[in-house]
Amino acid sequence: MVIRYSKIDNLAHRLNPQQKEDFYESKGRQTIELRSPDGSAIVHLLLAGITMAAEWGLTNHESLEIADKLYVTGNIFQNNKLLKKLPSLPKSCIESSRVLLKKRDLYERENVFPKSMIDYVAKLLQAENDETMNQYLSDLPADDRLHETRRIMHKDLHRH
Amino acid sequence: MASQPYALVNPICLLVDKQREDLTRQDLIRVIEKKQIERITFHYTALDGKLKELKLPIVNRYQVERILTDGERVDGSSLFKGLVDMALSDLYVVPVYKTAFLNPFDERSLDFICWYIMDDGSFAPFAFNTVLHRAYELFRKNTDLELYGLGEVEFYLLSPPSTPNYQAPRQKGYHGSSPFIKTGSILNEMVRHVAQIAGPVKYAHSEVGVIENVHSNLEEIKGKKGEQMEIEFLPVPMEDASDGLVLTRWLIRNIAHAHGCVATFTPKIEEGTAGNGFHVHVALIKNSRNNMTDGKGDLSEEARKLIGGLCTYADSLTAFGNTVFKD
Repeated sequence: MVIRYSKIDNLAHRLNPQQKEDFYESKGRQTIELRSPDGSAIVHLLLAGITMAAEWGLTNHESLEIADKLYVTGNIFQNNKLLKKLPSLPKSCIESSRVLLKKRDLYERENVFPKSMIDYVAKLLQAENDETMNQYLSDLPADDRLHETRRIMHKDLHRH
Repeated sequence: MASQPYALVNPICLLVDKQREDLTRQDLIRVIEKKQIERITFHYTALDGKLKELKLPIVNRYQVERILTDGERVDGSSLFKGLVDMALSDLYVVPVYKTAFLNPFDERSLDFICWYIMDDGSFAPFAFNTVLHRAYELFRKNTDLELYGLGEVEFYLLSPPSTPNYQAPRQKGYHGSSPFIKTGSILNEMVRHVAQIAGPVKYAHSEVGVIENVHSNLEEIKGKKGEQMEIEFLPVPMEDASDGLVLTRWLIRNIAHAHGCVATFTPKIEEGTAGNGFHVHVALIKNSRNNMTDGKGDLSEEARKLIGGLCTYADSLTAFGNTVFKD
């Protein structure tokens, strides 16, 4: 996600007319935000993967086309038609592990991620055994469902 | 008039009057002598993503020189159990001098983040920071840019229930202040140490999640009050960002513990309340300047290529960014 910064400098000038000298941010501060990771992230490997993605994007000519094709503005979650057009992320750890194994070449190229590391992470994800978890939980009687959901949520209070 | 040093400058930089990147062994020995340091503590990220530690008492200068020069041997097969099968006795943890910090929980210790090095001098291929290092080397080799990153660290601070006064409404904690938010001073303490030690902080605030009474079978959190917090950093080179983030989690957990609280980064604590994200920002840097926009303030071609790369990797990145079941 891209959040734009104001193109107007010295916004505080509107409120503080006694301030005569302006200040100019000369280095720029625009970033791109990846909003999918959560608190269970393996920090180094996530940042390594993001770095591989950045390198791939900057060195492959089709990346511009991919970016343009997927570019949307506004809140996609309030626009169902738009949301349906976009590819979705894996819905479970099991699905993530499948995608990782399928796309492992993107990480193993140039010997950056060892094969054993990809296998290890895939195994870690598979151990969550969560592909049918939502169905399993919703089939339980309400009280059991609440209890079981909490047990699963709280089993990894300090995962990474 | 000479300006006074700012309060959040790393104390070691103040002691030796140097930037962290320029610290040498001689500077560190000066710190050890000045502060009457009794031990060096090495920290290194293991397979569970948490910092491990080794305490090395020091009695003379020769010993310090040796420890800081060669690091120390550790049992890799224990630290990386499940990832490497072979016996790994020839693994060393070696300190990164620029990460030196005075341990806020142990005033007689000088601490370092270490990297894993094999006895032939190569970086251990199975260590997490080696993987990031290799990725970054590849990036630098094939582009004329630097990649900076920052994390948004969200966590719940769970504390014993206190006064019923000034209740913060459920899911309405975003940028909340005292007296509705009760743990603001603990957050201040965390930010002080994080900013001095782990990396430059952009801001910190109370986040959306407020849980009046945590329901759980775990004694550790049962019945506690939860306030969600966020600490967001400023962009630094990717390798510094990741070591700083792991150190940040360590600092947050320890400061919470010192206050009788529990900090958890786990993605979900209770249905219907905000979970803990870990959003990551990246920026391309060229000649020390942000290269993400063109002269008109629109996204540069390089920035759009970066987005194309991230879109290509996005689904598989969840393997590293989302490792537990989330309802």
